[in-house]
Amino acid sequence: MWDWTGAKKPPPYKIRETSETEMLDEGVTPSCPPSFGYHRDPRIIPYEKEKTDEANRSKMYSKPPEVPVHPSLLPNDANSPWGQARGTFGADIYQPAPQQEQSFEASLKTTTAVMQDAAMGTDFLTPKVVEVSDEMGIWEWQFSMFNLPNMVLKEVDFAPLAVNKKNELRRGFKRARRDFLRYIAYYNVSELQDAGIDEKGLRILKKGKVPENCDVHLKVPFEYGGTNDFSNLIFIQTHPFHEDIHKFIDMQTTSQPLGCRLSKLYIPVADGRVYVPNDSSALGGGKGKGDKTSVQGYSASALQALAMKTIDRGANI
Amino acid sequence: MKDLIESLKKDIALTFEGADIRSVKFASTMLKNNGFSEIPAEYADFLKMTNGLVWNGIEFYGSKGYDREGKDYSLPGIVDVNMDFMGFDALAGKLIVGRAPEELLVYAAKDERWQCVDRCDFMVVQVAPSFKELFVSFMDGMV
Repeated sequence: MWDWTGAKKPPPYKIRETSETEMLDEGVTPSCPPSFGYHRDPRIIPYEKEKTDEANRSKMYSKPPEVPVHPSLLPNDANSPWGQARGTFGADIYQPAPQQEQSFEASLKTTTAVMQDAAMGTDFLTPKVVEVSDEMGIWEWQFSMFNLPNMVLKEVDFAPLAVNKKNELRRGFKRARRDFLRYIAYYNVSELQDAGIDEKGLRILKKGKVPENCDVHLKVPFEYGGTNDFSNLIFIQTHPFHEDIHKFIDMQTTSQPLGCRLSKLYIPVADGRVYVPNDSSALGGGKGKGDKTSVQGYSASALQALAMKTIDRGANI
Repeated sequence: MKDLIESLKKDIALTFEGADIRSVKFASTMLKNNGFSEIPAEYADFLKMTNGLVWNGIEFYGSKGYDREGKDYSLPGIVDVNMDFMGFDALAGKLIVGRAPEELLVYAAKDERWQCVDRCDFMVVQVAPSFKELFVSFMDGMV
């Protein structure tokens, strides 16, 4: 009923963009009214592309590494031998052993000596590079033993990375991960549905968080030239797929002496931003292929549940 | 710590019933018999509040595993996870208590420090004096 007395105040005036942004922040899916065509999310996703300087990585490594330590662990006593190390606590422990200046290529040739040093446990934090022969065939065979469908093996080369730079990338990863999750929640919805993410999961993703048993995986690790670029990130199920990828990488890395790095690494990589283990995303059509349009967007478990319900209903009749 | 868990529970965290002392002791003994360090008291206290925790890609393992039937996966227990990494030189003397995206959360018994190690090369990337500090530092970065 119209308020003739004028006692009630009208709601505060908001422009369309403000109210839209508020709704999207609350997790409402952008509407697509036919009169407006495709209605895009107006919010800007803050993202800065990481600037990698591949050429200078080996030069940067000569700096002493800094491991972040909680402030309460730093000594207060200025007379103590640790007092000098305030701010870079542990630097003397982690300081790389004095070495002769040698090029990166020269270091590759001295692998035997390097492996012996590492076996003695002399230097744990200075990465040593172990030359890898062309073993692609062996690892492809090993890879076939893993249940990682829709993935291929990719060969990546070791790119030395300063600890400071690596820490910077790690911090950047947390931001990039959050932005990536928000991005895919709006632009990769059908792939997410194929991967078994429901409406509740989409709402969590829009907040920049991952639902249960899901994660964001770095396709190429930082030390092998990976960055925080969206093209290097993939949304994946933690158990078993993310764990299996790392188990496969572990098979290669742990066979080396402690502190050594492989000059080449074979990593399982999937295309796209969302890992879909099965082929349910393929639409119908084509000779010899069933029409899957009716099951588009349903996960295998959802279809199984539907089938069970249908069977129950049939039994009741 | 209890407040932190409660606030995460209000968000999207998956928590479980608190572990009983016998269950924690049993897991601790299993780990000790297999050459790992025992479950530290601080983590045992955490398990008494919630026997495992899953939040935003971070997992803390409980004294036992859970079959998440509705989600089609199993969250492993602390013993299972450590057994998987048995024989890894880089993790010798360390007890894995959880995982984060591209990282493992471990307790270094020798130094009595809580560490975050890289998932690929197992290098230490962060050190904290207590489990609470490690827990808070992770939640801050991910919220």
